[in-house]
Amino acid sequence: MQYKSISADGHINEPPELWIKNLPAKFKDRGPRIIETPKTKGHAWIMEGQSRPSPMGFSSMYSRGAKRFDRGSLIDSFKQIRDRGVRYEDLFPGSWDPAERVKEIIEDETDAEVIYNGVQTVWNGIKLCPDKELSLACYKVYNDWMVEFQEHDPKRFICNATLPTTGLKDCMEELRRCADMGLRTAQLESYPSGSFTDPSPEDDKFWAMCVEMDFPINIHTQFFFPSGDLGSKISAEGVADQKKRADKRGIDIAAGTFQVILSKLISSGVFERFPDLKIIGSEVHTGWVPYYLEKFDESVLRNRREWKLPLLPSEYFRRNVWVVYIVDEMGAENRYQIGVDKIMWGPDFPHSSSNFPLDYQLGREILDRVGASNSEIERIMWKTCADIYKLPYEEPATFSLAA
Amino acid sequence: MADKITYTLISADSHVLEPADMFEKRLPAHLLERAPKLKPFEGGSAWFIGDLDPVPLPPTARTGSGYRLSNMAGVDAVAYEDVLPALIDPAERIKAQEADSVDAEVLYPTPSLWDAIKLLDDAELQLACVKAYNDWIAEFCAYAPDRLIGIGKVPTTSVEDACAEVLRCANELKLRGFVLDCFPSGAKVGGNPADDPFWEAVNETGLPVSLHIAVGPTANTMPESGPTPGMRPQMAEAVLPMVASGLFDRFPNVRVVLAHGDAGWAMHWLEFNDMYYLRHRHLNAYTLKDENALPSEYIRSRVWFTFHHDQTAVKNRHNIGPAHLMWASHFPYDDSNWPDNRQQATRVTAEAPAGARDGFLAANVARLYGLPGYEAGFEDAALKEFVPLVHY
Repeated sequence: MQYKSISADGHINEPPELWIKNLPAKFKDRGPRIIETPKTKGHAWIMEGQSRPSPMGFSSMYSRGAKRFDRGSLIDSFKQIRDRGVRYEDLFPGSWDPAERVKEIIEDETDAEVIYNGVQTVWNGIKLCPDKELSLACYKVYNDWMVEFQEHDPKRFICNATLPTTGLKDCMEELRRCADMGLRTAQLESYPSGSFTDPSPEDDKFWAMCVEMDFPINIHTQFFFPSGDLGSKISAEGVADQKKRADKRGIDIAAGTFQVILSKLISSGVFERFPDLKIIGSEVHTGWVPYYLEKFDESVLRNRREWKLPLLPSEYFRRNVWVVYIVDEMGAENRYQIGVDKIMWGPDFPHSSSNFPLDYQLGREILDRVGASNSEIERIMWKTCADIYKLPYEEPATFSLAA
Repeated sequence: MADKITYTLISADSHVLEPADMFEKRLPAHLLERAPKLKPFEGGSAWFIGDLDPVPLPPTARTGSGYRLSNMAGVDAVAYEDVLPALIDPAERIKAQEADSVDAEVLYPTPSLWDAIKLLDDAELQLACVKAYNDWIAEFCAYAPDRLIGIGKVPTTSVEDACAEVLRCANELKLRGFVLDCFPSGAKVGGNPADDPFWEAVNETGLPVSLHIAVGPTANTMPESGPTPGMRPQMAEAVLPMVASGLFDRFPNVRVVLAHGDAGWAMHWLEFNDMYYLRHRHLNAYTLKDENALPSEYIRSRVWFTFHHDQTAVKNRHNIGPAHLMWASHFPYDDSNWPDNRQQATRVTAEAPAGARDGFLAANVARLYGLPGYEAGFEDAALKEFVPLVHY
């Protein structure tokens, strides 16, 4: 297959009956299911051990804008969602039906996709479930489904295994099982040990396994939502509420953001011990990277005594780390400070940040506007992604200088 | 001093050190017993304030720079006797500027000391301490007002106290700006209507207000040492609520300086502030008075950034606003290069053309604080010179 666009960040929405149908009999009544209450507005996920249902919320769906830049209609439909909540029948059917998904991404001019789970929604319950056996069973059910989804069209879908947060052994065994079933990459929802806050020496067994299997590992924005999105930070009370809820569960949300995870992986020498490890930050955007690397390097150079690693942080970044943006003009403009081959385009379809059905056009447009060359466009729009996730491709016919 | 000063390099963020006898000499007699006291502590000196943990002097108060520190065997506690005299004595300070080839500095207090004072449950003492500092820094700067640019501390005790002290700093003490540790009403977010009298007072003075790294009742405004790589500083989170509250519409003379936090993060922040504003208005609890304006336009015309080791900001000057970037030496903290700050400043701004570079190194800060020769301030067009982003 020849590609012109591969999204490094797409999402499914988990089918409402997935766990009810597929969990082992003893867990059937205890796993995730959909409920609808006046308080949750629309559909929400709930499972054993969860006191607050997780509403589907805005991020799970995108509304079709009638035409380009029709922000008015987009905002109107968002407002409707805000008032009545999100119900499964509102979602794009390609969220769970792979045949429909192919049609949708073709409309979006996307040839293939790296597919992530639905992020917060059902995963809040699974990650925090006090019964680890039940939690692990939920991960397995999801991963089995991902295998089926990918099998529909492996040239178009690179489906993520979602790795369990129940402990190192579970995490490693599930990685092996998913790889054996044909999945080609996996997303971490915690450090491999199950910690949401800090790396630990035992994680090395997992990293060694990833290198041995040549398995790229993704971190999708952060270990825990609610996200640090700038738009909602307008209300300090809202942020404080989120923090209070997280504190109650003993979770340090800030410690699970990609930048903090990356700093800890670099500083703790993970990339020094595993020079072939590949870590991808998905939907993390890229405009922050140049300053982050400049300051990280500078802080290390000023504290040489305390920095025991042979390379600088930016050198580990440029060897071991990739980052995915949706639409990020500052990142595109600063691509030489980041590394053209470190950046992947990923429109986040069908989440609300997507610009469906214009994702490809907008992805191209910002690259054109910042003056990216054809080979740079190719790198960012598909080729780096195909290379990392080992998607076979035919090189497009080369240009000939002959008339 | 020479008759007329020509500025080629001004630090927009440097620090003094509060003299050991500052409180003792200046507080009313009945407060002396409760006053912060500098005492020996673990081989150095530390401020003892109420029953809070002792606050040691900043480790680089002895060296003026951390890049010399990295050549030393170990970092010891600093005794007051070993502190660079330039941090306490204005005549010595001028010598230190000359050694550093820096023409002038905007002078901030020691954040760790005031972070502690801020926590005291003793409003009378807190206010008296702030006034003592403002009196002291005003005298310090009077020694060479064209080179020592003093800014006053805003009391954290009440809105009334803040208003009164802001006016006293501007009118009586002739200070050139203010540094805000927390919103005077105690609000957690900027733009709370309860703080409006404060902003009105600031608006009346026309002087810039600095946030230094962080703002809030318990925020740590002290620069951290060691690997704390480039994240957006906490004070940035205060800015968007200020925009959203219409503060900049209501008070046209209010200008904000984000000090010690660099600016290489700002273009990404501006782009995403706008994007979320446009795409997710349904989530926003605010509207802007000017319906066609974007949050970034408010920020880029009313907010200034100081930067030190930040080539990313220099490279992205058009995306941030070239008139809004001001180089800072951070003397005497560990990321300062004293006495080689001129070389550092030259290196970090090397890529910019001469006009923009003059702005970063001296003219922008001179215009912002109305230094001699720059009283006219900025031209409106220069303030708004930045490349607009195309948003989706």
